[in-house]
Amino acid sequence: MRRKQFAPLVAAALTGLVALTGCQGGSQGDSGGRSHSFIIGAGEVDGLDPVQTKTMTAQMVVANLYANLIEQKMVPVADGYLDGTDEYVNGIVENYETSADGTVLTFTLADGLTFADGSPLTADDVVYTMRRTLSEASYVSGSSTVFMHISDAEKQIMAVDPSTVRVTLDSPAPAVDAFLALSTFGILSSEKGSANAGANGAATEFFVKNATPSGPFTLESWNVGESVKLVKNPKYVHAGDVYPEQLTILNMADEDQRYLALRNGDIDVALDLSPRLVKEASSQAGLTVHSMPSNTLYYLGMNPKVAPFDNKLVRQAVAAAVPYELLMREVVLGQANPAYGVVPHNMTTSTAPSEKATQYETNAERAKQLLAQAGVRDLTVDLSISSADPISVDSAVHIQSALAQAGIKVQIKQLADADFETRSKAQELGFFVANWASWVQDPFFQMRALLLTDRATNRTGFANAQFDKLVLDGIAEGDRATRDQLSAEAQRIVIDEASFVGLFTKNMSVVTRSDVEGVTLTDDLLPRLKYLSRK
Amino acid sequence: MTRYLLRRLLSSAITIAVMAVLVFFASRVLPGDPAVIRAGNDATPELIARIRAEHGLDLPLYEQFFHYVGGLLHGDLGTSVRTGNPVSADLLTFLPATLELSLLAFVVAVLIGVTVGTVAAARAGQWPDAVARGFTAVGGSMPSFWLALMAIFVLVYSLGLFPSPVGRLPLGTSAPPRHTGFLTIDALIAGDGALATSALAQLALPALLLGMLSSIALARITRTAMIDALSASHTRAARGLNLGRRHILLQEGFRNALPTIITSMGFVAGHLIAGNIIVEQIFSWPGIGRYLSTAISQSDLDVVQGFVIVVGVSYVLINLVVDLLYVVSDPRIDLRRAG
Repeated sequence: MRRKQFAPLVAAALTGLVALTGCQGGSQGDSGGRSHSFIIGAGEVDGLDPVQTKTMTAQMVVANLYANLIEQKMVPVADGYLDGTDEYVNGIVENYETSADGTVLTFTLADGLTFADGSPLTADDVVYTMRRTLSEASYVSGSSTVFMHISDAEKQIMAVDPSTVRVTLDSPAPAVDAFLALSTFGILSSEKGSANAGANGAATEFFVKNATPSGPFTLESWNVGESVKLVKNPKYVHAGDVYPEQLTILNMADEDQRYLALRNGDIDVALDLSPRLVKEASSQAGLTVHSMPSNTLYYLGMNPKVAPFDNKLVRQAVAAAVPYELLMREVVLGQANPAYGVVPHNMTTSTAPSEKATQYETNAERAKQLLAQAGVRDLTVDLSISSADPISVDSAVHIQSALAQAGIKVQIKQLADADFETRSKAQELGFFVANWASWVQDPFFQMRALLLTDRATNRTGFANAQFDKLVLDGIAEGDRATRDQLSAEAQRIVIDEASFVGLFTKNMSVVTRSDVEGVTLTDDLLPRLKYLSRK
Repeated sequence: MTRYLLRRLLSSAITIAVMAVLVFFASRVLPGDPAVIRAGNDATPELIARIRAEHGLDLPLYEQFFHYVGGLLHGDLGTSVRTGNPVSADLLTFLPATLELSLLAFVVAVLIGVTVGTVAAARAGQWPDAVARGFTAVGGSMPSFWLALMAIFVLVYSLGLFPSPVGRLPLGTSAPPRHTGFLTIDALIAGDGALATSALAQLALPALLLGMLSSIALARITRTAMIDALSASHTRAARGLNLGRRHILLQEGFRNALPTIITSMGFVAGHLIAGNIIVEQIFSWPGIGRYLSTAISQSDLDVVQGFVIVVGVSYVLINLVVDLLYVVSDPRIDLRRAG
């Protein structure tokens, strides 16, 4: 008798679990009941300090917590999203003037500004934030200092009175507005920062774990590793323009799960889906795909210090053999545009004759001729890629196949991401696929980062004194026409040297439920969530 | 018994010490420079040097080792280069999620594994045995990530049997005040039965999946051990004495197979604590597996070391418990000779 009770007991325990969960079943439908709240499937938030965070999700959270002096102007485009322009509009300022010689910027703050906790936001907070972003406590101080032409932040950024900030530049800086609109210049509370200065005096430990919001949203909760909840900040200077009342940003590490949750209506927005899932989403009822041209540039690096890539003809032969169209069609499934040179077609001063032009034409015969000219036979090379990036992995396979037709045998070396990062930044890799996205749409920012001799992010080992001079002159130059000319010359050198071969620019894709609108494409690729609304 | 326990504790301490040394040097083999990765794309040589100095990565290896050992003796597992937090604090944040999931999965694994193995042995060569072998063969051949995704697709999104895998609580639900870190228990402490039910519901599918995957090895071992015990001479004698089917199955079979089953349960428990990375990723479960996964990709050495130490200590403790359970389960074991 008792023997027969054992199996039913086990079955009952298991079915009980299922029954328990069955009554909590998934929502299985649309996002009804969330008219002013949105759930976003994204990645991990590694901190809240605007000048310390590394993950894109954390940077997005920060960009929506803090207000800037000025913001990138967004305009609706035919494809149904808001596109960032090269104009800037007032953030927390009511007036922004530049002196006739372009070296003195005067910001007048709007009246009655406060942080989310009600404490006043004054010029002191702006000065504190700007100096902090340009200080050693910041991981972005290097490029910010160089491009904003501020060599001594302590002396050059001053509060004139509680509502006026004056910034004196070393020389006119064409990129200064773009930098001021970045999340790294979101205004922090100087009072809280000073009260929690910590070991480095810059309150890093405090701001990594705490927020002093001045922007459209305030932080309701942060469950580390799990989710961040933001709610509308009624004290934000443009609170009337903020539609969402609440945002939940979930850490959903697996992209398939983000996609399934979106399909089921559990979340409203899925970020960072692969081309495969974006393509699948485009045929799903109830979902809208925004595939937006971005400056995320995939490229082939050939280190001129490593044989056989020390031979320019070999580099040009490889460039001629790469199947550019095939990569765009098969690897990123059409969610890409051609890359023409180091400056993408959609970045100012690009020398691309049209948005459809590639840097080199695929021509296996031409590649063979160049190899013959170089006196190279039976060439075998290693192509290194990060195993964490499926697009690089897939690209490498197609490149391997195409180069074989030109007589070059390619051995693909998949490296752990940390290994790839370290070795490529040390310029140890001879031949590799990598990617890059500039936060600032400035050609000299792009070229300095990618190819200036011995820059940390110059992975190719490219070193050209003439190129360096053109880029450094361009950074210092205030005149736009002269900058255009310097940029064009620098781009020509890169194309001729063929150390850096652009493969394609991958679109930024955001997939939403069909009733969601207000997706943004900003220069820094961080969604501004205040524009989200429902149809 | 006390002497036996002391001997086992001493050997456990030696095991942990050897493991700590090995993990230090093994983690140095990990590719990548954590300072370069942490410094990011605006790095300067000065910034990279500063990060190295802050984390002691600029010191000679032997000095790093002494710092590491000194820290361990004080319970300091180092500092994460990525989060800037003490590793012990980060692990304490994420460990309860893993333990809560692992405990429920362990219960599921034991229920399924021991039941399937016992039934298969009792009906060896008959259809229940064939079904059990089919279960272990099919279950063992399926990749866990694929099974997890299929389970979500079918059981959550197609049939609606389980809530969406969006973490430890349903969307829009706030966590109870933290006492144990186990949300089901914390919710009960807070007197919120509905919240405890919700937390249990979120746990159910990943726990069932993990438990089912872990039960496969347990079922196979239970079956083999039971068949051995049921074909032993003492069992044949019991059959000859006509002691009854229940006595033969439980007293002669299960009881004699128990030490083997307990050993494999120990392996399953250890595996559940260490091996949840894929399930945690797919179910958005904020446990130590996911924490480790990110740390490895960033070459965050202290985190990798801390994780291995915590998991290693768990294994050692589980083995200790297993050894003690041997003694309880099998009176033939002589404590004076054991250990």
